[in-house]
Amino acid sequence: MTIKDIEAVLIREVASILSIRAKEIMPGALLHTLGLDSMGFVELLVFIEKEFKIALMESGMTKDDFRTINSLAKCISKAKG
Amino acid sequence: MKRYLTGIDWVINSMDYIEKIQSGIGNVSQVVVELDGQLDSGVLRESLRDFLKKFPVLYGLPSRNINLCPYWKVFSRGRDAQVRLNVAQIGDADDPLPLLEAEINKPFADDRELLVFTLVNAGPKSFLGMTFDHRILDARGAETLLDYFQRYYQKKNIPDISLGESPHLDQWKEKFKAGRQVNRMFLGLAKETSRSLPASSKSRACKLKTVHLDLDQASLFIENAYAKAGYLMLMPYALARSVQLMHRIFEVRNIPGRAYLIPLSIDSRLREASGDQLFFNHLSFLFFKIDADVAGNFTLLLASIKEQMYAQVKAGLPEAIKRASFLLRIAPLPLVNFFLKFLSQKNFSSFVFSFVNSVYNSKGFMEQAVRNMFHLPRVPNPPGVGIFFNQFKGVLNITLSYLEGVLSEEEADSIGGAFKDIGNES
Repeated sequence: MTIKDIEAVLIREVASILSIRAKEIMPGALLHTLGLDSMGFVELLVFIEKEFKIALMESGMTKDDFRTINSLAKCISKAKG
Repeated sequence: MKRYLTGIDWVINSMDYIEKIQSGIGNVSQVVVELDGQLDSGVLRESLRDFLKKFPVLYGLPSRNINLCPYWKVFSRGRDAQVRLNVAQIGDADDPLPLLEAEINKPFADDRELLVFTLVNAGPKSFLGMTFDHRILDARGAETLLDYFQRYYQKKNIPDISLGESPHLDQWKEKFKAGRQVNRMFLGLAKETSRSLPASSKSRACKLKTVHLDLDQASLFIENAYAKAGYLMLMPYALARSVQLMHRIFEVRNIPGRAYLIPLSIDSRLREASGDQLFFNHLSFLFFKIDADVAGNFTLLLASIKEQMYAQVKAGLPEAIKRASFLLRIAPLPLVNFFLKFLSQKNFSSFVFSFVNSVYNSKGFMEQAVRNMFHLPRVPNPPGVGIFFNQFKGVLNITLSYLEGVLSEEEADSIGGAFKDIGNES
């Protein structure tokens, strides 16, 4: 999967959590500016773990890696090798 | 006209029943709008009456269908849309809280009254409190109702309000599976007695302390939360801070028990409340068990809360609770009361907690700028203590709600003071 593919999957999930249209989500937008809160963020992390079979908490990601869909997609791609 | 009640609605109805037996007052809360100006009470009363008469659901009672499914019976006739609005005047520097607090300590006029408004004029400011029965609105629903009122007042469109809800008399296998999952969780939590404060047998008056962190203080609080708990981990951080403060009280009082148990209500509706999610309750719960040894170490406490939150979301517990709660609907309210009393004998919770992000989207309220919006819930007994956070346009509000006698005035002041100090912590 390319980074763009991963971004598309993540955008669909964030849109579903927030009940907004996927078109409204820019991959570079900070997640809190989209309206994501603690619960929504944990739901997203659980989705990533199940969908991409990676444990984010143990993957050595830094705080900045979690802030945007783009940064998350890059980390997932890296973790997947 | 009828609207079938969900399992969660039935739990809320049960809590209302229990609260009425104990205190004569139901399961109520109040949402307060703080305005940068005064409202004309006559115009407000007429506008509210005009708006609320569109919702006959506000004149109803729980009932049971022939298929045993509980429903909300809506009386389309039989009562004119009367709106009770109490008006008070205080000085610029006076605290409106005692007047607002008094409203959550009064029973509604009768079974069918579900909303009461209180307008407190305080010099150049005013406070409008809407006290509501939790059987018909949850916290976000109450904010949305005020938002729709404002849109209606401005002659803007409001979404269609549909009361459609299926009786949910299908998918029993899933409901029983969810019931098993929830039962296992409760058995795990009930293995040992949780720490709880002794309830007062004398007074059932609910007292409140509020702390409002302004934009700068709230930004600092959020920065601290992100730095210490991680990006977007504001709610776990607020809960950890609350446990830390309550732990101090328990330690000073030498309360027995090895762990704290904190139920946390979470909103289960979509971000933008749609018309069919305005009324009734759209929520579920998470449960946190914190070892008393861990509560004294903030780093471990925070890690424990985050870990439990992640594990419960991963296991689909909030959804399982919603599904399993449908099984409770068969039980009449006195039986649910008996079951909940049994749990309370085990000191089932130490205090309750919630964190609400505001959904009031209108710019102002009846031509006045909205300074703030906060919640004043009447805490259920047991546990008789609750800490409630809400975030409104960058401002952070914290309400400590407790039954008189459960916390002393000094203890309540110490918690309020500590939250103020946290707001200034860099």
